Amino acid sequence: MEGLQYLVSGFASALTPANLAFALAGCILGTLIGVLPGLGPSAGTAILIPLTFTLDATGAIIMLAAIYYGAMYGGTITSVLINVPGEAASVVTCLDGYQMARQGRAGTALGIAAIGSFIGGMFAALALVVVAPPLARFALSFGPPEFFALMFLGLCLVTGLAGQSLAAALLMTVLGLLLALIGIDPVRGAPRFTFGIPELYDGLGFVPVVMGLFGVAEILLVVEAPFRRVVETKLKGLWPSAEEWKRSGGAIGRGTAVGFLLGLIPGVGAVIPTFMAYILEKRLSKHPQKFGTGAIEGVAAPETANNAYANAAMVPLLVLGVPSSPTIAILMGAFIINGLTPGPFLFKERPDLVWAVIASFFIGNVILLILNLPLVGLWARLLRLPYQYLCAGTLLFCIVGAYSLKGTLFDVGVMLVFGIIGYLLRKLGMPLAPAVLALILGPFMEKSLRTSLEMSAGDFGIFVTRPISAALLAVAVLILAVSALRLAALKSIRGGSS
Amino acid sequence: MKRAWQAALAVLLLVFAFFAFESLRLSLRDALGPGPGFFPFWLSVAGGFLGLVLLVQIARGTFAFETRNLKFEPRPVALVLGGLIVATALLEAVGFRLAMLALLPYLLLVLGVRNWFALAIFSVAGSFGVYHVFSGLLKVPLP
Repeated sequence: MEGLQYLVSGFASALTPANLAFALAGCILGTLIGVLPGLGPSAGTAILIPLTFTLDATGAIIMLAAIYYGAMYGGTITSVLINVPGEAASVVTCLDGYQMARQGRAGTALGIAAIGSFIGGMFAALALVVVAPPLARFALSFGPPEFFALMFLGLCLVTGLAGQSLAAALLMTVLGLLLALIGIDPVRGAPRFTFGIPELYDGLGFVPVVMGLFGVAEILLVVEAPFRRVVETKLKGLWPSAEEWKRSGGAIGRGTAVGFLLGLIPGVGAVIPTFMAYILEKRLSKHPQKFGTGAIEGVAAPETANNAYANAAMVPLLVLGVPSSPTIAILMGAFIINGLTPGPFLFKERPDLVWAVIASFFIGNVILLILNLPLVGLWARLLRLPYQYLCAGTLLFCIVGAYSLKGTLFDVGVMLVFGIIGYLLRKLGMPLAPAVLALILGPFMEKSLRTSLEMSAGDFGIFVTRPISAALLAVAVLILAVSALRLAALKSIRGGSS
Repeated sequence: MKRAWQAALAVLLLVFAFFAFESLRLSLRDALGPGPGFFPFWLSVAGGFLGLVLLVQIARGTFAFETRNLKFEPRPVALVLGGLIVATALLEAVGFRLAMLALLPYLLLVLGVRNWFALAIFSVAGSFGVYHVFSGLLKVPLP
């Protein structure tokens, strides 16, 4: 159990007053982002990156990771109280959470969600400690072909699960990859697609692009169709009864397992584990007809899975350098801004940072439990904040964030341009997640591809003659094929029913 | 919806054509192996192919539109964007504080806020307050 030894030293670093304060600030800001409708974890994490510019790398990553899982929890509160998910993973919580609120059991729904999230998060963090070191050691044997195949697999997973059209998702992936290639060629040093603009030599800034695609675009959509007013709900009885505990215990256990296992797979996203945990509970229940009418298991299982997923999704990022979702891709961007490249070498070169961040997951889960049990009433009151102030404040932070990255107006312009692009793409229903992941993985993928081809003197056979790379590519192709078949089957069902 | 998708795909095809053309001007292959144009060229080709596939699917009526609300409300969106563009243009000329002191009340008014006291407090806090926090306390340089 070498992981536990490292974890102890990680705790020594994460428990310093400064890092504790960063974790607390991150959890508060993250919960705030989750609570306020219209601002998802991706946009929220992106616009808050500038807050960490002056922090050391460990503090910055601890704070941003706390913002991420804080936001993942915060979405629950709006799902239960106003039937509006704060983020996509909380959609399924609306089904029973809101019904519980209508029956006067909002407190119990939020209580079991907080407790389930805590248990799921703690188990997932503990499992991460066990899984991460051997996986990182295994990944150290990877060469450029294996890394290329791994990133290709990650992109295929995200693409295969995004939207209702595989071609549209692939198109967005290609667009993201191309945009990632703007700037100086990493191998030969030649400028590409820069139009002679010096600011583009470093490439398009990931943070301004993401702030535009998620932050500005989100606000433009909200401005167009403001969300509804908040309903008044009294919060009482946060602690579940003995009967409710009995019904929730198994759901929490199974939710933890589902969330953790799916979190390990790059590209799965947070929505699938929550739906799978919900469906599993419904299938196993003796009273499946009660689901959708305020069944506590219908809140406990998806919320537990959501937080277990949020912690487990850090495994592919930290160990393999492959982000699982747009928000994790933004976290990866924060690593890169701090001069760090997530992946197996990070475990070798900066174990102090990696283990302090992992230790902070445990601390963050405790902080979130404290924030979300006694202080849930405070968060509920924030729902009354008029949306106009939220929109203006978000745009203000977007401008600050984009400008402060390099101190140039150019990045603010990039953010605005991508805000318009993101708004239009989202109106059309084009999936943005593959584009964002491709944008962050693009330079690494190209470098791995070209280095591999240099190793083999231009022979593409290098990707299929090395067993790990061949296996990863085979899985990637299989995923695309299964996705295509799934979508074709869906289309024929729809065609048949219409 | 169909027209909007076709227009978007036409623009994307132009983007891919531009990338393909520019990639060909860079070398696709050199003495060490694949050149700087190799990856973007083949990506552009793939993007162009996918764009054409989608256009054919739309023309044949086999494409499943994932409709969000395509009804545009151009007025508030244009007013907010216009304000952002003007404020960005003024940012370095008049400084962050004055640019935001103008932008924030403008945005709130456009969005329908008529509580003048709240509007004033929010605007001052969002301009001078945020400047003080970022520039003074966090040492993040702002114009």
